[in-house]
Amino acid sequence: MTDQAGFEQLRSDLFQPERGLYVVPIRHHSPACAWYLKQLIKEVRPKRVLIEAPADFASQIPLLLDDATKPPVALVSLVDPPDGRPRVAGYYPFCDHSPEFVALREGHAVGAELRFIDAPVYDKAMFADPGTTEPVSFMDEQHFDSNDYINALARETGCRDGYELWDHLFEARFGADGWKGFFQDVGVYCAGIRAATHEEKTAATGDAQREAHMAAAIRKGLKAGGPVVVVVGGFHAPALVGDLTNFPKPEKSAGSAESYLIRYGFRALDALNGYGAGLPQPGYYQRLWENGSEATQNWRELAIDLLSGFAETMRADGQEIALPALTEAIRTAETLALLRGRPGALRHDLIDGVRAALIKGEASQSDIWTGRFQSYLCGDRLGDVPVQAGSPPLVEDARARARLHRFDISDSLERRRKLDIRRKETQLEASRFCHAMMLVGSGFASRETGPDYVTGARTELLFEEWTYAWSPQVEGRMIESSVLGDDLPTACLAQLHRSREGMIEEGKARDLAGLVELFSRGLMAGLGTRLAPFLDAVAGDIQNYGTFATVTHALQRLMYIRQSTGPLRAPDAFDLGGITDAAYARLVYLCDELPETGPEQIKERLAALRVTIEILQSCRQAGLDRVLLEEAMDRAAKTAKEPVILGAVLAVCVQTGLRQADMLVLAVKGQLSGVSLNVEDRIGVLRGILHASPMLLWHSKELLAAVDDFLCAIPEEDFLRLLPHLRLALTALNPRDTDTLAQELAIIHKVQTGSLLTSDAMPSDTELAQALQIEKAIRASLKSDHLTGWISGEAS
Amino acid sequence: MVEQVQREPAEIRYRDELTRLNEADTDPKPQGWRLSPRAVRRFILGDKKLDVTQKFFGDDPLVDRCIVSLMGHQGLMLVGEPGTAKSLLSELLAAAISNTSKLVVQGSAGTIEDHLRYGWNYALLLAEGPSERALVASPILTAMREGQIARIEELTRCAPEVQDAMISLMSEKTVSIPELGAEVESRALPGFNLIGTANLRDRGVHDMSSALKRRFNFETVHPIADAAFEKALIDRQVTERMAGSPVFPELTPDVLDLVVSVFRDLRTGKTADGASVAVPNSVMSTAEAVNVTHAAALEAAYLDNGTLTAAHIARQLGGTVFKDDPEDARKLRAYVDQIAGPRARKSRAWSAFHKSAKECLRD
Repeated sequence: MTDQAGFEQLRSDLFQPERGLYVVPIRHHSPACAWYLKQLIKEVRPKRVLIEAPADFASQIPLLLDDATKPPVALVSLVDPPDGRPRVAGYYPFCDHSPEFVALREGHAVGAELRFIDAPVYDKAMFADPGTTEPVSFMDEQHFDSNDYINALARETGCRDGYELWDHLFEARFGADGWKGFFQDVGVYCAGIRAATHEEKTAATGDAQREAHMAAAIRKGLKAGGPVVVVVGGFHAPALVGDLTNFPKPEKSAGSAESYLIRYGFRALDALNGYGAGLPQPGYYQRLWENGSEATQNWRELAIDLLSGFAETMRADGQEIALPALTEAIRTAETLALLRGRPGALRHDLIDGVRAALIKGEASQSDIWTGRFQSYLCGDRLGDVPVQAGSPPLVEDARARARLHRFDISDSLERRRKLDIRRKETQLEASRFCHAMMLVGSGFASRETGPDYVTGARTELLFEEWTYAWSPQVEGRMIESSVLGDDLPTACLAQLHRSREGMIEEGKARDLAGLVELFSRGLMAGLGTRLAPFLDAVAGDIQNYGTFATVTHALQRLMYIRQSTGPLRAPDAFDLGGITDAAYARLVYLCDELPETGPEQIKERLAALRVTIEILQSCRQAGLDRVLLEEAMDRAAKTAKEPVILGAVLAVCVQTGLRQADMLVLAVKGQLSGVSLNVEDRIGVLRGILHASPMLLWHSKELLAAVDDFLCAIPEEDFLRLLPHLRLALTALNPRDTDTLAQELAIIHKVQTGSLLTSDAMPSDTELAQALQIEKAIRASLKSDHLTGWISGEAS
Repeated sequence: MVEQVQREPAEIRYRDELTRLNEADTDPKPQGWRLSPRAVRRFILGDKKLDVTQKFFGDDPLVDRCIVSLMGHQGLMLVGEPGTAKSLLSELLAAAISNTSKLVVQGSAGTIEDHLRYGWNYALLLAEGPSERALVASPILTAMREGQIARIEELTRCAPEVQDAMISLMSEKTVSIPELGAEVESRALPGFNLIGTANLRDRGVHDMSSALKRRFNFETVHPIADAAFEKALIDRQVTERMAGSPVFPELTPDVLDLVVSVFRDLRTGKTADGASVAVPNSVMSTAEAVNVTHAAALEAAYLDNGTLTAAHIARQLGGTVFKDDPEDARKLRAYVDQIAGPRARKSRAWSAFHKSAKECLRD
């Protein structure tokens, strides 16, 4: 059969009253489809309405029919795939002009039985990419946008893409025809798309499997008695009009899922962002639907309404659109529609009208006026769901907490809030709530300014400033997080454990500081004593994986948290002593590894040794036995071979009063004058000292003298070879240290620090003379202009 | 015998197409238009059934908007980078709508108000005094009197006071001629409108006042976004230009690919695989790509063995595009070294390009 004949056959096959079967091919969220479908149901008065939506959503039908349900809403599903992969969330959105939604409401009005006939959400056919962990859309419509058939047809009709083509061919017919002809044309259009799609692709994307499910449901419906109206995505229609027994038996799917009806927003519904499907800029189609749903479509009124509404919005934003420009935009849009053979200005005509009339100058590819207009056409409507719709307990809990902490979540607008977290306990609690919402990745709040106790940045600030918004996306993400637990603290805790496991999986289990940071986040989120099991797990990690460097840093953070009195403070009942002791014990144990330091470990161990000084100094306050670490360091000092580490360990010992400074001098002298194969080894000890505790160099006069003598004595050639290593070692000094060192050196060499500057910086006599001459000339000139009073500051 | 000219106006070049379109035109025409708006669209964007070629590429909705703008009271201002076929589009529009593209003011620093309104034949003026016979109408006045489309090229090169004269012309659509009598004026017939082209980027141009801007609908003509499309276009235009030549070296796909990617890389500042490229000040438009390829083809045909290679392209690129800016030469050298160099290892065309470009840059 040729395509042409196939198309004709389809026209007569779509509606088979004798068989009681009406297959209605639709495009998701198309107002024209919705309008014609409404007429069809009113006329056919079906016994059954079967809709292409996941079968397991059937339990939500009563909620969708509830008067309190105000689209845009979405059915969201938390799917446990059969093969044990982690949970995935999927969406199935509805708006006022969704044919599926209209089918439900109108079908209900004529007393029809309503059924959802697609494969259940947990069926693998519902996932084009079976490995995904990202949220998916259960309304897959890629066929409509990029397809050889669509592209060829768009070229032929002068449309720029599949969206304009659809509007041109079908939305333009809103309210103008009988339903039969309209849906026959949609059917043929979709059959064209299907004819240009390879069969392997249909099987690979799960379409074939889904059609088997639908065919089985239609067979059942027909057996129970017609008329049966089947509302399916146009792509599937050609497969479902013929013999329904030809399909393989649908495979049973093993997974499970929980579904909820949630509020949704136009921004998320827009086909061009997020996981939407259907048509872009839903605000436009909403107006199209409202404008034509009762009477016939008045295109002029729609164009004027939309454009003057846009002008009003812009005016409110301080972007005035002059009346002549607005008139020109409407004229251009309407004339373009006329030129393109349309009954009135469609979406693209309106956008073109705005482009032509409002842009004055050169436009870039994405100019600002088109952007503003498109954003206006997208709209910001939010839906509502009945109270009994319920949401996962986590969402309810988070909402209750938000209200308790006085966050305004009545709409999705973004708001700011300043919190005085140091002085007001209630505001600290509100801050903890924000941190908790951040921890579960809800996107509800983000901190604009304020102290960051987790990293220790700007902790001198008293106030935190947050922006927050309870948008449908936040709600969606909270629903996705519902897999973690039923209330916010439980979810946060589960998230912490999940992050820790993620780190272990990524091979970052040794990142103890990262784990302690997670712990701090938990404290900031107010989890308090509930963190105990998590902390135990971290303590275990410290014992199992801790290296000298990581344990040192983790211990430092833990001691900081333990001494903290601000928002990072752990509750009194929560004893951090255990883990600190464990980390300390591990550190002492690991000190004995210091003598065997490999070259690749030098850098991290140097940094850790510097921190060790700090730990030693605050041992008493933290209730740790200082002697243990002192002895361990002493042991290390005796046996260390690697000169850099030796230098650093000795520096630690001297700095903390464990040893006398002359030990250092001896070690440095020995190294400098000794024989070594590598030049850099000669200053290794010095490098270690400079890294661990630079001030030792000038506090001990003998040490400085030893280094100075050595540098003065070595031959020029050796000095040049040593120079790069010396420079590297001295980078450990900060500018103030460098100044101090220079002063000390100047004293040794009996010169003034100023005289270390090169003499070039001083002006020569001739330069001075020239400058004086210039000044004289300027003075003379000012005097001749009677401006001397002005420069000498005397008021005239 | 008709003298051969270098370039015929559009209405002569496409006389047959215009005639066919006119005969088949059943759609309503705005007053004063020789063709209906849909026929104008078909003339510019092509119509296979009537064997009308496509003349403007890459942005069909822009053509729609231009036609619709000309149907209204606003003028049409085409802006955009040099070499994006703004003037061609304005010529085609005028030819299709009014059947003449000759009513054109070529804007420059020397343009004076007389060029926009009217001047005098001074011999007649002295002999007879001011009279209709002594009046020399500007292209704009002629267009008003005939109900046709007038064009102003490079409007931003005219001095601000000359641009100012346009404001009242555009809003009143009238030219008063007080020399011929107190109330003598020429009012525009239906069908009159103006197409301006302007360059908003060049140095040394005069900004348009917002009063003047308000009287125009602006359309920006962008360089062609689709590489395959640009390739086809260059191929066709070079073939057209070489049509009269007795020798025509073959334009192989490798060479064409190379031309398109060199121009696109340097125009957009990014190669197809995402490496960034310093963008030269010189214009890297499709029109320049055609010029370079044409010049390279001529060189291959007349000065070399008749085979067009990437080496010819490289030599012409230096002379045609990178004219005298030392900074641009540096950028081209960087491109040749860093982008063309690695590519030369994998492709013969790039290898020839690289070698020849290096030689040229050495001079």
